[in-house]
Amino acid sequence: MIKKVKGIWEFKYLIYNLVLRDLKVKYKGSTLGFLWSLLNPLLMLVVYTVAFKFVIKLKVPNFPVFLFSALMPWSFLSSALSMGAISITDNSNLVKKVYFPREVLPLSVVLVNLFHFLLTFVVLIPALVFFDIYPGFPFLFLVVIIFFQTLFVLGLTLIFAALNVYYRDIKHFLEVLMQLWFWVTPIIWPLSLISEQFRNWAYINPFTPFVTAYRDVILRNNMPGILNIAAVISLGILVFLLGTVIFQKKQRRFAEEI
Amino acid sequence: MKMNAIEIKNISKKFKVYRNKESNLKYLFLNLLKGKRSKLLSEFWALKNIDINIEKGQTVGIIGRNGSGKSTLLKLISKILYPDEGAIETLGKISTLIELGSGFHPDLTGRENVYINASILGFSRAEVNEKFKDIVEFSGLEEFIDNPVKTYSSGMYVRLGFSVAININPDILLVDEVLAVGDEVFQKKCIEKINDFKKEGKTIVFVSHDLRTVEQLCDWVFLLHNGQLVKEGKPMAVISEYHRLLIGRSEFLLKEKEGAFDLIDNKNRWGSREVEIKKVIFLDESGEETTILKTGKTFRAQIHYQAHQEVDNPMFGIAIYSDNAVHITGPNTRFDKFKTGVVKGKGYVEYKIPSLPLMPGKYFFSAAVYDSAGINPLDHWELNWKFHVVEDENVTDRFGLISIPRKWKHKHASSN
Repeated sequence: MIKKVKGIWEFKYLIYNLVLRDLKVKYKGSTLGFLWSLLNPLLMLVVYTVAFKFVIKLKVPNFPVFLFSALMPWSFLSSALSMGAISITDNSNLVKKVYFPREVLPLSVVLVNLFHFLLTFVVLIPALVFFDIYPGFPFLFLVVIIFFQTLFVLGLTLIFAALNVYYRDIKHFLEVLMQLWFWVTPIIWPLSLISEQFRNWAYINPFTPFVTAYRDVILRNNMPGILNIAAVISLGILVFLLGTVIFQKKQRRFAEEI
Repeated sequence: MKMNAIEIKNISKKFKVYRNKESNLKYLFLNLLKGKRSKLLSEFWALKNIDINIEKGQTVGIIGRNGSGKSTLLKLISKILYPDEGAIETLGKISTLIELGSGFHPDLTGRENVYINASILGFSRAEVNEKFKDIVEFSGLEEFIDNPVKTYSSGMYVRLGFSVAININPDILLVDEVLAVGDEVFQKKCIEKINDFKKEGKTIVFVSHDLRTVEQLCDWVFLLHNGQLVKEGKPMAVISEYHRLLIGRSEFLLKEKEGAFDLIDNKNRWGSREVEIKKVIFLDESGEETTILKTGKTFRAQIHYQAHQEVDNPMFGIAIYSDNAVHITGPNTRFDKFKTGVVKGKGYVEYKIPSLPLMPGKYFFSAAVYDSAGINPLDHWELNWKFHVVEDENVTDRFGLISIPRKWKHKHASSN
């Protein structure tokens, strides 16, 4: 394990370059460039708010913040996962020709998406003042939640990236899965929609603890409950370890199977 | 004590062959339902029990036919593949000399891609900064380095990709057939660069079909055959063993082919057939019939004919071609003023070279009989026979196509 981490650390410059490449390619040739990263969540915020507040008339106070505090972490998960799942197969000619720790590919995809995720906070935090929320001490706790969500996302990405080498239709399966997962997670609907007796069932969904934790902090300016924190931390570690083990086991035959 | 840069300890590598090349979930589920574990068809051992030590600072070659496992071995050393049995230990930073143009991103500039490419090969920003000038200079793309690589031609792509790989600074360099890249000038630059590595005392492992280059560059050569190490040693000895392996196979092929030629006319045969060439045989210095001849020894080719009617003084001729179609020689009896007289019934004409000047390799042989004026073909067989030349211990030549007798002289321009 330590050897593995050391091996990846030796390729830190490659990770840096791959992240930089993705960002460069994304913004090259667009006039607004980096602004898109900020405009994109802002526009989404407007669209969803109009749709759910004025068209569907959902009765949730502070709906835009309610929505955004969950939608942003979700986008991080879903885009990292859909890009990451194909990160090995899309680079097949590198994998077949040259050695580098294969983890580098999914890892750099996760980091790119983490970067975009963090950028949206630049929009979000000033916007909060507009909605009468003044970020306080609990906001510092976001660092912890984001860290363990990143582990969670990385673990899943490693699993799907490895499986996609062996079963090429994993990526199609993933599209459907993500749709389903989106709707069963309390992102655009509040947990309170579920009657009290069934509410705990929502926690079977491993992403629910993350959503509620983000909401507690961003929307209510509160520390998440202790159980919730425990769930976030253990899910992060567990999924990350699972992902590492599966990836490690599967990657030995990548160059042959790809 | 000498240190080993690479220790390959009893490794074996197994490849799986699948029934369906496409792997997808449908098959996984179907097989689960049917109770079959996988769609595996068969397995084969690409390498079996290979034990090799490569000393630090050595340049070694790995040769063998296609499918002998040599590229697999190189991939195992570079950790692209994992062995199923055994272990490989390496000392120092390994780099594969490989053209990674395919890793370029078309929208980024040549400069940006060089940095990314070098980092894929495991090099830090400082190391690339240091080598950047050399890389660009080697590629000869100074003017275009800040253009997006999508504006490059495919040749430029390859050159830039290769320049990155060749200018970085590993302890162990692995080279796999890449010298087929680019034009001749570029290839020459590459060979020079590899020679520089050699002089700097780097360990180099070289996989190639180009035996001449292997012979020039390598100190030690390993011969793989069907996934097994069959011989190791000095280049000359191992390469001649390789020739013997190749010959064993092509003689077999030749036999099969000759049977067919006896019955049907092919495009490589023409003429009016008053005199027919029935067969051509080759004889070595001891008069044995063979297709394996030695440089510097007597070579004889006998053209056996059958004349269906009397023909006065027909012209017999032969031609020898190298396996890359260089016409080496093509004498005939008429030019040489050799009288064959009246030909009838069966007989043979012998062509003899007292000391065969051909260097080791594969050669093609043509034989023909024409009328006495040398104008009308009676029976002409083009490139119908093959023979092999292997080296003889007494021949000191190593390069080129032929061995030419020579004398050296040295004179001091001294004052006393």
